[in-house]
Amino acid sequence: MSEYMIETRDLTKKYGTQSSVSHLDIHVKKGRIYGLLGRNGAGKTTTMRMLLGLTAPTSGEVKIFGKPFAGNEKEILPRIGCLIESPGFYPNLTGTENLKIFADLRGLRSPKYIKSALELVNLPYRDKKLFSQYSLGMKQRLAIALAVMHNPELLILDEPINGLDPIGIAEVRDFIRELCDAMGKTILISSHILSEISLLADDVGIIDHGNLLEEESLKELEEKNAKYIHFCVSNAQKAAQVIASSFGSKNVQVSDGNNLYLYDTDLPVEKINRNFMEEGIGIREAHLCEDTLEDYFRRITGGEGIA
Amino acid sequence: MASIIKTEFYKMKRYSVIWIGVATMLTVVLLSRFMATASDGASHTLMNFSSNVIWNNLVLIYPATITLIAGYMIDRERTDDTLKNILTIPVSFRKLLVGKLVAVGCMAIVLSAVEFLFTIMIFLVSGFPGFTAAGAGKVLFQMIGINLSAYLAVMPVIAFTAQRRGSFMAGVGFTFFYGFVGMMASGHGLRDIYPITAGLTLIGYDDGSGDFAGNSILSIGSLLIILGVTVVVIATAKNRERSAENKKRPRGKNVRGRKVRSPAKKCQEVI
Repeated sequence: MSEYMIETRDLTKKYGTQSSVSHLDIHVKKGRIYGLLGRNGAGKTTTMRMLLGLTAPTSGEVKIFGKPFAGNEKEILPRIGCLIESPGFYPNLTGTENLKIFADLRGLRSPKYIKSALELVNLPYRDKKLFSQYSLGMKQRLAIALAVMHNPELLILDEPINGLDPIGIAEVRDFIRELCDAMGKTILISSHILSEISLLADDVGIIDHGNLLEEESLKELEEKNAKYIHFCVSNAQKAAQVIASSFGSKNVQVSDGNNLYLYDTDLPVEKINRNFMEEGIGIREAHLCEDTLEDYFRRITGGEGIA
Repeated sequence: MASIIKTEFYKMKRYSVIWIGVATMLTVVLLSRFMATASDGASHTLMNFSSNVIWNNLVLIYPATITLIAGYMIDRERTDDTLKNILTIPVSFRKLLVGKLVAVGCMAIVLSAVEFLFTIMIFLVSGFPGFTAAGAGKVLFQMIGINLSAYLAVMPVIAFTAQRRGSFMAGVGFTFFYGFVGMMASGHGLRDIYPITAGLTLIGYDDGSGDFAGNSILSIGSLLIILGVTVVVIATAKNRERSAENKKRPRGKNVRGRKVRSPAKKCQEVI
């Protein structure tokens, strides 16, 4: 069996001549959280819709649980829980009544499935409140309850923290992490919020304009981030000469008269400071800096940032 | 399939669209009562009053009403965004459609009972003579029978328009016309062939003129052809995405290719 729970090859979706997703190859490993990161309109939702058979790909192949999705939908889909775009429920029914409909369609006869799913997301069982009266956060929680109700092996969650307040975001984050760590679920999660992906994901796929730009573990991505020491001094040019003559390093960048960036972070900062003072260079600031994931994202997407 | 049909009944709980059906049933009975007032000198027994109700309902209101209710029930899966949850269970769009059609068929029976109750109520309140339990039983049978056959007649339209978001309103318009034409078809000896009115012969409908001898075989044949068309439409049914067409359209242009002001652009400017 394949080591990947989800594997796509050359997955492409075109609307007319416009490509929404182009030749996407993603690989989601078992028991890990894969964060699909990209701006709004980058192709995350289209990708997820194709993985679930809601949108037919123009070309390419999707394999889930090691099997081609096409032709095996009836076997594959019951093992997946999903939340795609906005939560969709019947507004004239309560949360419990809504879940009962989907439980019946899944053949889950016992009310314990509904009860435990609602407990997981902190929503009351058999509450009288109609779905139309729910807040956005409650709607989102109900959608997560629906996704996990049948105890799926794989979860596909499209922007699951949308509409949640900060406490709700933290709760859902912990809950998703627990699903992966304690229950061994594999989770594909999409978000345009970089900090969420960096806090939650084990592996990250960066998608931009329908193209997968990068696919690596979060650890590897963090290792790729540049580290440097930023000096704010009275004479940056002279400071660079001191570093070159005293420490033999030319791995420096002078941005203007006062700012100097040293990329050899192993050099002893206290000695550098002392040498600067001996040479009569005034030091205002010295920081050890590291590029954030956002800087990295900005770099590989050609300068455009993300939330 | 049983669970799909069962869940369709759950979904109707507190669903206001059902009241459209109840309101139209009351309207048609009241309309028939006013028409009875206008026909001075005629005797109004239960049978001829109910015959008026059945006729008015069949050619004026029922086909469009049942298409509207069915259309709303199917289209809500898109407007409430629940279709994606159902398709990923997986329940195919075709099975869902069959479940909906069966549920609406059951609702057609319930609406017939509502129509019957309103008919009896108005009949009794009006003080018309000739009420018998056997007569009332026959009226109930006739109303259920004709409403089910009329539902069968519009079913291909429902199944066809169900496949695209919002298309059911075109179906409602069509079935109103389709029902109305039944009046003329019946007057030209086509009652058994025209699908909307084909059920009249099967329920033993008597329009009081006594000049039309129905042919049950033609009626059954007509309804079987419609059933066959429905089966073909369902067998080829799928959830057709309209978004793909829209995405092909150049930005800032409507379906006809004319320029439109983009609200998104306006927002960007503000930001």
